[in-house]
Amino acid sequence: MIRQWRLGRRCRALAQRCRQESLARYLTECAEIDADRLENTPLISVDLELNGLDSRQHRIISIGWTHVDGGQISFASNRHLLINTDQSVGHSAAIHELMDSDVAQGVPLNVGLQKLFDAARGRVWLFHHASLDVSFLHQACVAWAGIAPPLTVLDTMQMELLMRKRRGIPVANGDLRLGKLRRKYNLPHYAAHNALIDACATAELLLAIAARMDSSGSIRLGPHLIYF
Amino acid sequence: MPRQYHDIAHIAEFLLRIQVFNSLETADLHQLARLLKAAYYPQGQTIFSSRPAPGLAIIRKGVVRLVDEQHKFLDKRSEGELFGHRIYFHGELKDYIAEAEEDCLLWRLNAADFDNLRTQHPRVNEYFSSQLKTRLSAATQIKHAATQVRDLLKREPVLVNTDVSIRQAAQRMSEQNVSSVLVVRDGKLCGIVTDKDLRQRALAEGLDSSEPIERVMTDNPRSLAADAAVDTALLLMMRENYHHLPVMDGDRPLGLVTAGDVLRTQSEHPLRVVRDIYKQKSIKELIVLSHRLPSLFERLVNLGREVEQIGRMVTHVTDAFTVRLIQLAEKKLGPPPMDYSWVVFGSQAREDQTARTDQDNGLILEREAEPDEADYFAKLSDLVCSGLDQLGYVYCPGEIMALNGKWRVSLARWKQHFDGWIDQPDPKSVMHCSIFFDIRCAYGNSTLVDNLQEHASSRAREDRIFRRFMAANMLSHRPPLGFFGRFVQEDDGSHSEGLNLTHRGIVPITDLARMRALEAGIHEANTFRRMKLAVEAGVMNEGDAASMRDALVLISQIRLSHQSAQMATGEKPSNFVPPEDLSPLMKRNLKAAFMLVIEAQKALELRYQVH
Repeated sequence: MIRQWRLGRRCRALAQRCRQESLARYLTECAEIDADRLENTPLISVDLELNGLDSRQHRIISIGWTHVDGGQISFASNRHLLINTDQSVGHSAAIHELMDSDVAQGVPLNVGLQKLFDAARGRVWLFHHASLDVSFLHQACVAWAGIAPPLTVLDTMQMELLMRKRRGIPVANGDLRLGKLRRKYNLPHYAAHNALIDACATAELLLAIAARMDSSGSIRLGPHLIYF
Repeated sequence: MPRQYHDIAHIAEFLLRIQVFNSLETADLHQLARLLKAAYYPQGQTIFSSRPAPGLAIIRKGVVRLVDEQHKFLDKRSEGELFGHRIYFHGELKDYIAEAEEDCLLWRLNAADFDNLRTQHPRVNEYFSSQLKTRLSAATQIKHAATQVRDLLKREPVLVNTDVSIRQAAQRMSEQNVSSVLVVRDGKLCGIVTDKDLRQRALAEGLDSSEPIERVMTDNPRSLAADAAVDTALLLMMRENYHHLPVMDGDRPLGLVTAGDVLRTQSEHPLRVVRDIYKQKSIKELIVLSHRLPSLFERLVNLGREVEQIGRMVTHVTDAFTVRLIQLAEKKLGPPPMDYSWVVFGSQAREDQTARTDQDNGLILEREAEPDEADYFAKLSDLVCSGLDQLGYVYCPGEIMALNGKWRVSLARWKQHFDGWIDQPDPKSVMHCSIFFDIRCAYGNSTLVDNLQEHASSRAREDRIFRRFMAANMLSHRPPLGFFGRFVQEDDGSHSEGLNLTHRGIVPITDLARMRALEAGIHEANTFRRMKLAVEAGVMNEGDAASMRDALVLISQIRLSHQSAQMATGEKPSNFVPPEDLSPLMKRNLKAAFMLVIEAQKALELRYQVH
C-alpha cells in the first residue's frame, strides 16, 4: 500500500515535469494501477529488438507488444513497430533478421515510444528478462521526454526463478531462456527474435507459469511485481 | 518488405492451415485473427461445457478430451483442431465437456463473434452446421486410400555408415547428386545429414573433415512408415519445419521424401491445370493434359472440399479447355468475321459439374451470317466440338451443340427460338427451355448473351401460362420416396439399378431454383446463387432457400463420394447409388433431404395449380 502510494506521488510529480503529453498521461494513470490478481490486472507484454546490449551505445530497432486482459491475450492489440534509427543494425542482423533497409522503413523512435506509452496506459508491464529492455526504454525516454518513467513490471524469467527456488529445483545455465521455458510448458515453437512474436510468446509463458502456480491461473501478482 | 512481420501475420498463418478457414479471403482471415484471444489451460483443467454456447476454440498446442456428462469419452482433439461448436459424435448431437488432456494453448472466439463469422461466411457456416459433412468426407477418405508416401519415392536412399568421414559422406552426396544422406548402423537408420548440416555443423564450426559423419548428423530423425499418407508427411513438415523425412519399411530405410516431393503432389490444383491448359499449343497436347483430370477430381473430393466449390473448380477447367480450343481454332481459321459469343448450357452454365460430362453449347452471332461467314463458324464449331469430344466431353446426344446449325445462329434467331417455346409451350419446348435457360457466355462478346437472357427472362416472367407448363414438367421429376418413406429404385426391367440421385434429387432442386430465377427475372445460372438472389429479390423466403441449399449439398455430397469411389476403382461414374451402399445414417439424411424437396414441390404445385 505504502509503495503504491509513494509510486503514485512520484508519478504525479514526474508528470508535471514531463515534456511529452502521452507519457504524462501514462504517468497519471500509472498511479492508479491496482495490481491484484492476474485476471483483474491489465498487462502489456513488450519485447524490444536491439542492435546491441549497451543502452548508452546501442539502439532499439523494433518494438512489439500485445495486451493481456482477464488472463487472455487479445490479438487485436498486437503491434509491431520497426524503428528508424541512425545506426546500422550491424552484426545483430544475423539474430533478428532485420536489415538496414527494413529498419529504414520504420518510424522514428519518438513516435514508437509515444504509441507504446499510449498502449501501456493503466497497464502493468510484462517482459521476459526485464532489466535489459527497461534500461533501453529509460534511456530512450530521457532523450525523448526528459524523464525516466517508473515502470511496474512482471518478469517471467524472475517468476520462474522464484518458483524454482521455492521448490528447490536447480537452475542450469540457459534454462531460463524464453524458448527453453516455452518448450517446458508445452507452448508452440515460434520463429524467435521478432519483437511482436516474442512479446506474444512472453505473454503465453506468463499464462502457463500462472497456471503452474495455481491451476486456476488466478495468482496474486503482488509478490512478483518489480518496480523500476 | 520481406522481413517485416504484420501484426497478426503469424496468427493468420496458423489459421490458414485449418481447412475450414481456407475459404476465407486474406482480409477476412486477418479480421478473424484480431478477434481471437489466447488462453492457457494446464493438464487436467476443465475448459468449458458445450452448453451454453461457449464460442469456438482452436487448439494451438496440446490435446483436448471431449467427454459427456457422465464423463464418458467422446473424442480427442489436438493441434489445429476445433471444438466449442455443436458436434455430432457418431451421428448424434451431444453436449460435451472439454478438458485439457495435456497443457493446452487455445485460441478462443467468443460466442457473439463466432455467430458473426458464420453469418458473414456461408461456407464457414455450412462447415459448422452440417451434420453430415465431416463424416461424409471422412468416409470418402477411407474409401480411396490417400496417396501414400511410398508412392513419392523416386530412388533408392543414399546410405552411409556411421564411421565414414564427413568428407567421404560429402563426396558421396556430390556423386549421387543428393542434398541429404541417411546414416545407418548395422543397416538400421540412426541419423540424417543434409547440406545444411554440413554447412552449419561442419564448415561453420571449422570441424575437421576427417571426423566421423556421426558428429554432424541429426540423431534418430523423425521418419514415416511407407504406408503413411502424403498428407501426414505434409503436416509433419509444416509443423516441424522438416525438409527431409526418411521413409521406412520397419527399420529399413526405403528412401527419402523431400518437401519438394510432397508439395508437388499438392500441385494437381485446378488453377494449375487451368494455367497449363492455356500453355498447350495443339489438341494433342490438350489431350495429354486431360489425362490429369480424374486424379484432380479425386483429389478435390479427398480434400473434403465443399460441393459448391468443387462444381466451380471442375467447371473452371471445362471452361479453360473450351476457350483454349476456340483460341486454337481462331488461330487456324483467322480472325472471326463478326462478333459472336460461345455459350454453354446446362451444368457447365450452372457451374455444377462434378466430372466430365457431355457438352452442351451453342453460338450466338451478332447478325445474320453471309454464306462465307456461316462457313467460318461451321468450321470453328467443328474444330471446337470435336476437340471437346476428344478431351472426353463427348458429343451431346440431344445434339445441343454449336456443331448443330440450329444452335449456331444470330441473336435475332435465338430470340425467335425462345419466343416460339414460350408462345407455344409443349413438353418438348419446355424441356428445351429447362436446358437453354441455364446459359452462360464462355467466350466472346458476352453482351450478346446478356441481351438474349434479358429478352427470354422478361418474356418468361410475363407469361404465367408458360411458367405453369414449366412447373408441370418439373413435377415429373419426383424424389424417389414411396409410401412409408421407402426408397423407390429405378428399374430397367431386368434389375434394380439403385437410386437416381441426379434425376430425382438434384434435378428437382435445380428446377426449383430456375423457376424462382424466372419469377424474379434473375440472370444467373448457378443454383446456389440463384437461390441467394431470389431471397434478395423477395420471391423466396430465407428458410426455404436454406433448406434447398442443405438438401442440394447433402445429395450432391453423397453422389460425389459415390462417383469418386467409382473413379478410384476405374469404373465409369454413374448417377445411380444402390441404397445398400449407404450407411443407415446417410439413408436417414438422404430421406430428410428428399422430404425437403417434396415439400418445396408441393408448394410449387399449389402456386401454379398443377395437379
